This record gives sequence, C-alpha cells and structure tokens, in this order.
Amino acid sequence: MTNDAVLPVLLVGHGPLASGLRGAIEMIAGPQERLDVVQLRPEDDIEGVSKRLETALQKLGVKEDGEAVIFADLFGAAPANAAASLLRHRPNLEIVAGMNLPMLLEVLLGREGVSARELAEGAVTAGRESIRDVGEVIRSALAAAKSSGGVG
Amino acid sequence: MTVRHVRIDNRLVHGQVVVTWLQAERADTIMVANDGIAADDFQKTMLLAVKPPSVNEVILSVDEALAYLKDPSHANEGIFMLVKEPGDALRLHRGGLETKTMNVGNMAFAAGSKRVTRTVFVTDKDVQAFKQLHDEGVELTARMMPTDRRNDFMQLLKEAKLL
Repeated sequence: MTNDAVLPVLLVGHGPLASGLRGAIEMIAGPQERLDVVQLRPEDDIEGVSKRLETALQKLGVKEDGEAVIFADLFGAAPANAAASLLRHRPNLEIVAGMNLPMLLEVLLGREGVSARELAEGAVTAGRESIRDVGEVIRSALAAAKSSGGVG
Repeated sequence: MTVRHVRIDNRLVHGQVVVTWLQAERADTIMVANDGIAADDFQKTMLLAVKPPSVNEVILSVDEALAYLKDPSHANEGIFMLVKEPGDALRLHRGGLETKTMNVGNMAFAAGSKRVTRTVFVTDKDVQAFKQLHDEGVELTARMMPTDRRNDFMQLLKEAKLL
C-alpha cells in the first residue's frame, strides 16, 4: 500500500549505518512506507552509489522534477556527495547530511502534505535540538532536587 | 480522571511510548506507577529529567497512583499510565482503576519466563495476574504500536500453551 502524498525518503551511509538506522526507526515507530536505504560499500565508487540512489528514487516513483529527501551520514563524504551529484538533473531534491535517529523520527512521522524543502528544514532543526548532554542534565537535576530537599 | 491508556511494559517510558503512543492517545500526562522507582530518588530524578518536554510526568507508588486518580484536581488530565508488570496492573484494577482495557507492550525475558511473542515473556506469576485481570473483566490487548491490530492477549497466552 503506497500513499502518494507521503514524501519519499532515502537514507544513505557508510556500510550498514543507514539500514541500521532504518531498523531502529522501525523498532520505535513501526514499518515506514516510501523509505529506502542505500549503502556505500568499501569497493564502491561515488558514481555507483549515485546510480543506486537514482534507481531507488525511480522505484519510489519520483520523477526528475519530483520531490524527495535524501539523508546522508556525513557532510562532504562519498554518500552525501553521491546524493549531491543527483542535483544536476533533479532540481527539487533535498539532501541533509549528519542524519541522526531523532531527526529521522521527527520528520518520518510527519511526511504527508509536506514539501521536500519544509521537511529538510525541519530535519536540520530537529537534529540540532536533539543532541543533549545527558550527564549534565541528570547531574543538575540531582543537584536541584538536593537543594530543594527532595524530589517533587 | 481520564486514564487514556494503561500499558504494561517493563521498559516503562521509552522510545515507542514517547514517539508514537502519547500522540495517538492524546495524552498530556505520563504516570509511572511503580513502588520501587517511587522510593528511589535517583531513578525518579533521572526519569523526570529526561521526560519529553511537551507532557507532564508523575512517578508514584501504586497506592499513590490510585490516590492521585481519585483526586478531583487531576480530573482534566489525559493520563498515559505505565506499569512494569501485570501484578501492579491487578493492584490498580482492584484498587478502583476504572479501565476496561489494558495493553501489554514489552516484557523482557527473565529467569524462568516463557515466550508469548517476540517481545513478551511471562513468568507463572505474570500468567496468574493476567488471568485474574481477565476474569475480573479487564480486556487485555497486545499492541506494540498504536497502529497494531487489537490482538487478544489471552488468546496469545493460549496459543503459547500458557493457559
């Protein structure tokens, strides 16, 4: 069952990272439609990865002027550059590098009726805000509880 | 009181709950009912410090949870209730929690437990508590995700030859 209103998303990364992220997403939020994964293997060149990304987009039914978002693991690295090279003939493609789990959860669950541009911007914000210093959060909460004489 | 959902899940507040369930059940308050955590200031502080920013969270013993639910000042809260084990769910039910359905999320493997589904393992004691809940009129479902079918948990126990 494919819903055409759901914006197509690809994940691309070094080795098993992207498929691992997809596994984590589906463990938390259940199966996802219009989501595919492409790996950079040690023997790959950038062109090969670009081709696999292109094939994946076509399989998801994304026309040359169609919208989609590709998430890559590392800015300036082969998977992100392979995605970037598709911009030559796909002007409405969005690419976000530095993908992380909270960013992906945030955007994958709200993909209906959203433009690729909006999704990409939302992803960057969510990704930045998701990074937290847990040690610091807990230590200051413990200190606050101690100084107020107990947990509320 | 409006308890929108009771989930038996030994991970308590975790990814599936925070990312999908709260929204699906339109809950604005997470209630963890667990005697051990309620008595442990460190765990309590830690759980409250990492709660989702958009909701309230209260961590109470089972008895405190029942008192909280009876307090009319909480009447407008939409509560998503989490308990670790069916024994606590049974205590809540017998203490007056007026919920017709309870849902089984994750129950991790423990020594002596038997497999019901890929993510649910139960001990003999758990099975007894589930049976009592069922006999006292509580419908038990097994849904990991809000989109999952309302599986009959008692049927799953039967299929696993545990009833």
